[in-house]
Amino acid sequence: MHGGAQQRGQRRWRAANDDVTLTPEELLARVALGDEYAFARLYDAFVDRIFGLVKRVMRDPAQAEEVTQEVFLEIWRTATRFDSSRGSVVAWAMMLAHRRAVDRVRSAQASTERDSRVASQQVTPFDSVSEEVTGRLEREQIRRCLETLTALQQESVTLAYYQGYTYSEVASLLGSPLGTVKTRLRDGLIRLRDCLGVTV
Amino acid sequence: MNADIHTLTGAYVLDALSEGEREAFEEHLARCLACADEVRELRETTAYLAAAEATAAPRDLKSRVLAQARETRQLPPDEGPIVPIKGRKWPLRITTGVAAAGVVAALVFGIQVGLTNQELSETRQALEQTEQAYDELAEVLTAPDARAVRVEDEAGAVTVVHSDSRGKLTVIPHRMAEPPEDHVYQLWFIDDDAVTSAGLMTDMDRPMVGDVADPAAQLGITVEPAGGSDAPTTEPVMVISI
Repeated sequence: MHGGAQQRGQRRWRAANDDVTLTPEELLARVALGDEYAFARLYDAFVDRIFGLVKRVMRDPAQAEEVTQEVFLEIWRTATRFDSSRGSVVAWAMMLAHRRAVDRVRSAQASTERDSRVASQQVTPFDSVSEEVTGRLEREQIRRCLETLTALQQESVTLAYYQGYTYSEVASLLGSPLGTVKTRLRDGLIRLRDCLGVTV
Repeated sequence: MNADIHTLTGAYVLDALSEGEREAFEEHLARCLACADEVRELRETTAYLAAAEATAAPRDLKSRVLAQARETRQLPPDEGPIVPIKGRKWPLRITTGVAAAGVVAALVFGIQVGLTNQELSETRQALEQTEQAYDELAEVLTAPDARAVRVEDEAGAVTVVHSDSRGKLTVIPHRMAEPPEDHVYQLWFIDDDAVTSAGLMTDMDRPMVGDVADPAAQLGITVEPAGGSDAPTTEPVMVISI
């Protein structure tokens, strides 16, 4: 066949980069080798979740965009250091995103600003999701599972994760003892884990 | 297992701990297998909470992210970003340097120095490696904003040269006491809210050089079990402001 080697090479290249069945684990392994195409694919797979999460925590869309960019750069730079024994790629990426958003919120806010934010913020669970994005099934599943939590568990988990509050801030917001909030966060997540069937 | 600290697994994966609590918990986590398992499972669970908030991102963000990645070097797959300078018998002690210079002169001017072929090829190799290491070290040392800090205590002395503009840092140990058997000195970047491994100091005579991940306030050195730890397990023997 004429140019057979090149064609085979071409096909392999396409298979490597356009195969929709590649898992985040496989993509990240390629990203760690400096594969920009794999990185673009990983971006496509994660961007809605990362941007949505960061925006939920930070509120400000412009800042959320900036932080999302930082998160992806961190994924790119540290892909070589990813340790699969500590969890999945998606959990790692969401952890990077959440930490960065929370760090930014906590450090950016002067204590007075923060106090007024704590005082004025209403609890607004699950109302800010754009409907045009994919993953509706996953969202419905998580919402259904959140409904299995007690109201106090749900409230505590939501305030901590989506508003970026520390558990002591959650305790003062809800007027609950610290120990109770600690336990609620853990028990709430355990119940969610069981409902979602999360295994590692 | 401390039952009280164990209940922090939930708050930990939700990033709902204060800085001090996070450090204390991570220290505990390094030694508590049951906690590590639970943290893994609960961490996976939080990924679902993130998915529930998925929102379409601005379209032009992708091209910016990809362009920035293209211009950004990835970290090498190491224990930490700061690694010992490679090369035979680095550091270039003055005597080695003089000897090497002598060999260079001999090679250039064709002076008979009576080296065997084996010795000659080893010398060439050492020179090449030294040159590469020197380039990287020189990059830090010659940066206009290079700042050197020297710290000395009972563990020994260390000079740290740091350049923000180059995003690099070099650690030069002097007379560091050998760590206890089956232990190693580990370097850490210490920031307001995070401590990340910066690498292992495996050779007390060898300068280390590498990238600074994010602007960190301090570099700490602890004694860790051989192979290093994910998080510091002992009090630092040295803390250097950078």
